[in-house]
Amino acid sequence: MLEVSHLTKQFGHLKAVDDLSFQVQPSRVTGFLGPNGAGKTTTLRMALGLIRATAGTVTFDGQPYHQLPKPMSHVGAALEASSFHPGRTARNHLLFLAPSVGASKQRCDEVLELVGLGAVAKKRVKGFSLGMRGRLSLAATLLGDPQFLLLDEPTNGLDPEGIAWMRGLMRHLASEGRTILISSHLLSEVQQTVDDVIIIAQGKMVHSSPLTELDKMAVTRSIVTVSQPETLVTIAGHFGWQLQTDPTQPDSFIITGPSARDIGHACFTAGVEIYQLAQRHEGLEEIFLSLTEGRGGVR
Amino acid sequence: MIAAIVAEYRKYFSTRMWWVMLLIAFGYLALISAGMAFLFDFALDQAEFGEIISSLFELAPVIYSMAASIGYLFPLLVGVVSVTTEYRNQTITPTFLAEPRRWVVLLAKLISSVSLGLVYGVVSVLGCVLAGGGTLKLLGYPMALGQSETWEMIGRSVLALVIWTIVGVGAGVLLKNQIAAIIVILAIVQFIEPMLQMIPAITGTSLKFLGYLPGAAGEAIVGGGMMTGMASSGGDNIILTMGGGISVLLAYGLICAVVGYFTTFRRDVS
Ligand SMILES: Nc1ncnc2c1ncn2[C@@H]1O[C@H](COP(=O)(O)OP(=O)(O)OP(=O)(O)O)[C@@H](O)[C@H]1O
Ligand SMILES: [Mg+2]
Repeated sequence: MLEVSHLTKQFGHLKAVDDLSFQVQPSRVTGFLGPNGAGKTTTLRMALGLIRATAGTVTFDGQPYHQLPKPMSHVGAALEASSFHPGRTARNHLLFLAPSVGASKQRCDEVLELVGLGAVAKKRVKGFSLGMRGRLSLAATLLGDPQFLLLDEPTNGLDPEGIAWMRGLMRHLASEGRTILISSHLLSEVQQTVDDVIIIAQGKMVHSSPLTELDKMAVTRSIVTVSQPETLVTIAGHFGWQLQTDPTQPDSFIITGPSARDIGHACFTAGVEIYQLAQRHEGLEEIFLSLTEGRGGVR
Repeated sequence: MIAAIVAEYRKYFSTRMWWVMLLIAFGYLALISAGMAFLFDFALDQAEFGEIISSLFELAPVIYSMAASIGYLFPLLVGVVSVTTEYRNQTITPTFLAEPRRWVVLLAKLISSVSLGLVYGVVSVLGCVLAGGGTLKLLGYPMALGQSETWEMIGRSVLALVIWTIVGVGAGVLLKNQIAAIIVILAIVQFIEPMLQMIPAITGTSLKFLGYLPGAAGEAIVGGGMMTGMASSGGDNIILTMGGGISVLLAYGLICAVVGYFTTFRRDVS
């Protein structure tokens, strides 16, 4: 299990990560979500000892990264920045990591094949596309066959086929019992891959649950247009519904809470004539957006 | 530790840097040493007591020591770049992921630079022996390869170049930024120190501390060169002993590395 506990990072006046605590479970893929500048990359870098935490700890099965023997054989990490020497070949990039991981040359070739870079193993990284670099990063994380995978925006630069492939790979690796954390600033991008979600904004935890529970947080909204708006306001007040005028349609209201069926029934009972009634169920992306609303953007 | 050292070797030898710089070092030293052999020959022909002078000191070892007294710039720069390139291309991230104990990484860099320095030392001396020595032979002087003094000088040159590589690694750790590091290093060894070394010749005072500057310390390892020659022309001979040169130059490298470790190398990588 990956455990983040009271993690904090102060950059000058900015609290990039603010008392963040969460756990990532094995055999599951966890999405680590938040708008740009939320502190995802900073959190991952602290977990890996690249950035020193101002306070708090991150442990992998109880051990901090720097205390793991051969850490890359326990934890594979790919961070967003492309970190390759342009003049080094893909294979040589893996070969320089291999001794510290305890990986053989065959293993390097094996993971290059696995990520689909077998054909360009002996090509300099200079000529690689963004997606190819992403695949090479992934190859490096898999080199030590690690129990934990931390991937910062792994789908960056991948084509649709690549994204589907990555999805399958993540599912497969999780089914083998590994603990997988993938960051993204779009829920829709990882929605089909993840079991759990951790959502942060401005360095703070906003929401953490299985994906299915996030779905339950969806609120129902309906657009209603009626013959007697005043009566509708009274009805809404009676039932405690949240009622707003629809800025796009005069004389129409948006009611949050009840189903269209309940609204229709209440209007019928009160003898109010309905001209329009449409129910909209919130999508996951909208839930995500409402959770992080007004807390995005660069600080 | 061994894994970290092997990793450093694989990094050195998997980009073009090491052999391109090595070729330049070889070519440059071959050219300069051959030119110097001609120059000596010309000077000795002019001198009234040319034959007496040439019997006083052997030309060959002096020519061979140019590998160190002039060629030090190449291993120095390779040492610097071996560190700064990691920051420039952000390979420092995977390097620290593979070995999160940063002192181990630093130590591995220092230790592995010795072999890199040896390669540079041997090839640089080879350039001087082949081209400079060959020219001497053509002009009728001995190549002196049968003499122990010559081999001593060759050994000292290689040693000096190894230590210069370590100094490069130390400076790279301290300065971190590639462009800044190269500019600062070149300014110090090619401009500031030569200027300071000229003071005694101009003012006629002798300044002991000049012998402790990096260029002068490097020359002390091979027994002399341009810097120490200039500085000593004002009066007392300021050149350190060979042992003194080794200690002082090594100290520059290690002090840079230790200071760099505590100031830049342990910083956040983001
Ligand atoms: N080295 C640094 N010095 C100062 N501020 C920093 C540093 N690194 C990050 N920050 C700030 O910390 C905040 C969090 O940045 P971080 O990169 O962790 O966000 P993120 O969630 O990964 O965003 P994105 O989705 O854009 O990748 C940002 O406001 C950023 O400007
Ligand atoms: Mg990020």
